[in-house]
Amino acid sequence: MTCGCEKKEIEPRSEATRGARYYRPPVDIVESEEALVVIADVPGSKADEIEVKFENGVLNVIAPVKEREYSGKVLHREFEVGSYYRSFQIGEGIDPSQIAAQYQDGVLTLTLPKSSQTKARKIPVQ
Amino acid sequence: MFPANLNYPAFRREPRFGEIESLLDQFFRRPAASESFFLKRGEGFPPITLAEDEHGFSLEMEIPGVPLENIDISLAGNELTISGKRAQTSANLRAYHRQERFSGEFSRVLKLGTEIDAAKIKASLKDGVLTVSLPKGEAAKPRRIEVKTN
Repeated sequence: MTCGCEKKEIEPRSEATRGARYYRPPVDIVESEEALVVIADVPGSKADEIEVKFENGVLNVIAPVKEREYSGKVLHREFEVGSYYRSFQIGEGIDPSQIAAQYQDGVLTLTLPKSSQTKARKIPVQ
Repeated sequence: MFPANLNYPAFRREPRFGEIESLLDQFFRRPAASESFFLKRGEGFPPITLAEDEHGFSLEMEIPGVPLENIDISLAGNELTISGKRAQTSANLRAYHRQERFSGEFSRVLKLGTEIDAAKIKASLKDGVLTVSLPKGEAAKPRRIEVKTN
């Protein structure tokens, strides 16, 4: 599957505080000169309910999605409805205090700015 | 590429019983959507859930990152086409470390088993989920026929 659009249910997290199902959202990770950008498809979740936490070098993303009811009979189903969870190990080159998150049309964009040591610098030749 | 557990009988294909099954389908189960639904290009993106009640069909599609003006919905006869394009992540980003999200053009075609009232189709988009309601035409709605006795 090349498009990565199939939702895969993931194992419940060790801290099983929520009884819901979790799915692994497809992500793109892109690097620019200034930052690493993580883009995740989390359709159906709401901006104010998304949790992004950085702890001990791990970035955790939880995007809750409520179950939906369909009127009548479901004839065909290509995706399941459920919350999203994914975590990322973040290297030392990232400045955690500067991580920013933005949500629009079901897409969560996390910008992880590089710390000043890791940014490429041009050294003038004298 | 498509989920194996399609629970709608018309989509299940077992070669040994294929012919008998399709005959049975014709007689006992009216397929709501034909197979072309699955075989078209677009690689399963965006995924669809289709439900039917007496008034019509409701279709839900997970289509994150595509604004409504980039989604084209058209109906020709009983064939519904939803197509559009999802842009790639912005070009000023240099290196991809991981690319799991679909980008590019997509098109999903769905053949509905009954006549649709094209004028009453409604579509809305919220948080990356597209909802299309497809009311059945008057002729396709179930009608209660009174039996009179003399």
